[in-house]
Amino acid sequence: MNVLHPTLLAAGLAAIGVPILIHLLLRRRYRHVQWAAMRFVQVAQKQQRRRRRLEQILLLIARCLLLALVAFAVARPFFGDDTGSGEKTLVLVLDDGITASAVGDDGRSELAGHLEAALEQIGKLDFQAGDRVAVFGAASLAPGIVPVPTSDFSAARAAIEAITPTDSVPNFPAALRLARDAAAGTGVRSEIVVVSGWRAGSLAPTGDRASVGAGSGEAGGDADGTGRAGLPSPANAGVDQGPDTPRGANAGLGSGSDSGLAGDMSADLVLMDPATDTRANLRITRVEVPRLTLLGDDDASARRALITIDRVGTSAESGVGSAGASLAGEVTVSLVSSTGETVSLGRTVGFAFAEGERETRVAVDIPPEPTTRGLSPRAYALVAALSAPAGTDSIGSDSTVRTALRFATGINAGVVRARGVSTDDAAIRPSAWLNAALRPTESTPIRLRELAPSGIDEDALIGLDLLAIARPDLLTARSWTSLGEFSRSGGCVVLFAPDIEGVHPWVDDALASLPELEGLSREARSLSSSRSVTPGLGGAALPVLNTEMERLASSVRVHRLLGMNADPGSVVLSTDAGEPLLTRAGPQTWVFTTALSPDWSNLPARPLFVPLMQEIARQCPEQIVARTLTAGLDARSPAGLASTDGVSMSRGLIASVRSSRDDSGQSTGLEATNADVRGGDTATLTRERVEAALNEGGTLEIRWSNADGDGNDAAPIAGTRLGLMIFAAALLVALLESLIALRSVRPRAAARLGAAS
Amino acid sequence: MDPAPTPTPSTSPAAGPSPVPARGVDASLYLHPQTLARLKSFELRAKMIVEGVMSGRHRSPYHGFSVEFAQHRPYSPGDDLRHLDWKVFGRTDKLHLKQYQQETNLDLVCLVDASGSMNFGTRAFKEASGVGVEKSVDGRSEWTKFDHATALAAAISYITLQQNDRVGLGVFGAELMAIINRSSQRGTWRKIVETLAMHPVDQQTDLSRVVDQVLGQLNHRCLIVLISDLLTDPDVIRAAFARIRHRGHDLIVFQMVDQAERTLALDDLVIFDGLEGEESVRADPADIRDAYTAAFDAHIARIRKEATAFGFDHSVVSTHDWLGPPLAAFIARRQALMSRSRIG
Repeated sequence: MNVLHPTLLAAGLAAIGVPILIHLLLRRRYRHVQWAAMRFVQVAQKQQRRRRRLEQILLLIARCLLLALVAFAVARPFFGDDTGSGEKTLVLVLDDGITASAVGDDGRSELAGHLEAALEQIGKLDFQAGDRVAVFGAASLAPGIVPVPTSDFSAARAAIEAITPTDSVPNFPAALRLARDAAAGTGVRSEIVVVSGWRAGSLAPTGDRASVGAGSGEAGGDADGTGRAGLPSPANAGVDQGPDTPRGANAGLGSGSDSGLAGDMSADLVLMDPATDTRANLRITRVEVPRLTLLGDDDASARRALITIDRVGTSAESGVGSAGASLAGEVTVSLVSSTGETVSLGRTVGFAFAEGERETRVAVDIPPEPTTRGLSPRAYALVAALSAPAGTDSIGSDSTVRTALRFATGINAGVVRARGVSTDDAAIRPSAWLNAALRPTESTPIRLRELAPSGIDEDALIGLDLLAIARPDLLTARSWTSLGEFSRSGGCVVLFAPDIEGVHPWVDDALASLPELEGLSREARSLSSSRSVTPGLGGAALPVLNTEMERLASSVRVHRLLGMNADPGSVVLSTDAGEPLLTRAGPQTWVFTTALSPDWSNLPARPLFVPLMQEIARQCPEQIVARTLTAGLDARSPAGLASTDGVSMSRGLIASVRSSRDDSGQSTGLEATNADVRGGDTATLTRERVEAALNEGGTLEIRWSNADGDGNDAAPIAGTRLGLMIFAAALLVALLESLIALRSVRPRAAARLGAAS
Repeated sequence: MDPAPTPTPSTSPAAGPSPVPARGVDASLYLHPQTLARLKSFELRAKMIVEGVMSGRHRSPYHGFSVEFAQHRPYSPGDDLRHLDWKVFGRTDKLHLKQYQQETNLDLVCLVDASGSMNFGTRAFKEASGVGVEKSVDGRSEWTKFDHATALAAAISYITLQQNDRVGLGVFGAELMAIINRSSQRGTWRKIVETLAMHPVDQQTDLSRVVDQVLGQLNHRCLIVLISDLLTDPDVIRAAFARIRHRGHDLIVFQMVDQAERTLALDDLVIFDGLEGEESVRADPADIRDAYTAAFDAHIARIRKEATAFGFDHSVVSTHDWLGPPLAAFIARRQALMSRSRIG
């Protein structure tokens, strides 16, 4: 703890000697008196001595403490380093996330206030003293707005004034790491000032951001294959978890396991006060469509999207705000091409919130593809945008959700034909099972083609969306190479274990081309008893079958399988012992660990097999890249690079629909980026909640400042509050001293009055 | 009754048993005109009729000279026939006895405490002496309890001698330091005044021992006047009272108190040094005042209770008061008691 006026403190502490001096002087005032009635003096003294001595000691302590407290209060104490003059580095971290775009009743965004506060902070710097400033965006992150501390305040002001809000959630841990590093490099006294309104959305978890940048290179399809828009669930936001501390990577700056920030933080950390005004906001939190690939013959039920809307903006503490009244609005859906052109007229449906209702859902038909160009698949974004009365939707970007859809007239599937004659004439060849399962139906226009195991090459695979392989052991090394290329270009591969005894050497060739098969065993294992089959955690990959999966799988029995270590989240079907039966090893790779043989399983003969294969086929249109991303969360660099320390070189921070490009700059399809709706939670938070979220380990020293600013810098403001607290303590001590003194003096004064009278 | 002896101011050194060199004697210090003016109208009467040497040792205290008729009362069997009023019998044919009232001689013994504690006083000497003297002969500017006690003893002695009663005096500390045998002769007053002129000494009071010494020298029932601050153990005082009562003497207790001593009227922080060799005590008077005065008052109440229990009179005499008012009030109260007890 430091003080602004050490001289006053020293003078005040020196004044502690005054009561002690008075005490000593009083001791000298004793005078000798000859007295007759000593027996009564002795009796009275014996009674009063102990109490009087205790009172004297308490009085002395109280008076000394009172002076010390007053001295401390007048000296304006504060926690942190000296704020006196001298070279100083100011590192500003601005909340430029989606929450900062919330517009108030005056039509002014919260970010505008942040920028003003930042400019005001810069205005306090002293160029002559060698002060410098660096600026980082908590959402835009690296490389930073002014990444290197500079004394060119004009340039810094210009950079700040040019800041626009992103559509992502701020990543304060990463931003503060950048700020810490920038401050540490200067070697002078430094201060990190975080300017944010600290609404609930600003502290939404961002834990998966760093890993997403490197792992989103898969082509085509939604991020999780669930048929949803790929939006992160707002329910994951810590602020919606009730009164508990927000969780996620955006929390816990102070925890050593997360960032180690507290241990390395040498700069003062100053946070602007949380916003206190409630700003109502509507957001589309989820768009669910049965299938992300729509075929030309799909019926109306397959073309119906379910849209979930919620409203936020109440105080996280009090629960009061704008969410109480009834509210009505409209949702309009349309199709937008990769160039941003609306290619299908919108369809509008109304929605309404009853009083006290926070979430509502509406269903809307997906508009038909405007033009059909033969078998050529097309990618579009289904754009759902809501409109609501003024004052009920402070953030616009989370009111529109873009869902990447693929339109196709049919699916081209290939089946690798088994070579030779089966040893058992009565048995059905595995490829025959596949032919039967992938036979075109009215709802699934599949065009089936058989390929010879030796004839699998790049030419043969052209035009195929799916290749199902029942006897992978028959493929040559060259075929595996071509298959790998096919998969990487977006083709879908469905593998079955071959019906062979002993070791399965083909697994090595498969692993060379399809690395996602890692974990697949090379040896088949006979089960001691047949196992039943149950849906796994990855069952959501086939949403249409999801509700029927358990019933259909209940009749399946497995006698033999290849072992596989797989992520539980990717296991679509498993035995009742938990052994994977069907795994989505990669976005475009499906693996059955059993063979299409009665010796292995009765799966091909059960009712599950046909719809299962057909749904898998519907996930695999040929090389259509149509992805739905979340701003910030799924951002990646143009070159697929990610910076160190998990801070991605981000793009895609703004919600949009655009063409995705490969590393050579060629268009590869459509990329629909949505705002991170978790950041749309405009509920206000208290300082305590913010501190709990940021300082989970409790090791960071945080000071608070006022964004509205009265001209004082952060330290005096903190010092004033601390000083007021000390003043309050001094008042209490003074009251205590008065009580003791009154108790001590009153009988004396009364006695003197009596003596005088 | 003989005229009262005129108090003779004297500055000659005291001759007598005083262990301390006497100071100059000035009876006017003790018999201030105001005091004497008040006392003139009263007669000192013993509460009890003390058998005097002049009345002999007969069964009736009314037998002897200078009897005065008081009243008649009906005869009762067993009454002495010598007191029958035959004239009344002749006129009324009823037997009545004549009753008489007799002034008997009074033996008075004044016991004056000269212990160290009596050497305490806060009143200005000039104000208390009544004759405008700034300081005492030995240079003191305070009027002490001993000064007040000697004044009171002199006044009582003077009045008693005016009635031709015998007066004796004892001055004591830890023991009897001076004693004057009872006498009603001329010159007794002078002896008393000279003896009272002695200094108080730096001793504690041993009342039990003193009482034993005094009682050993008394052959007749006497009225003892004890003038002391009685700052000693109440149980010792009670034992002394009991011995006095046991020997059939009457006792009047004048407890000398200085006003400041009673109220602890001190403002500054002080170190109390005992006048009788007690250990010094450092204290804030304001702190201990309540407890002190409570203990003081309790002590006085205890003495009063003990005295009353033995049928003795007890009176607190403040050194800040004139001797007249408390003494006059005391004598008036005694006279009322005597009037009741005089009726045989």
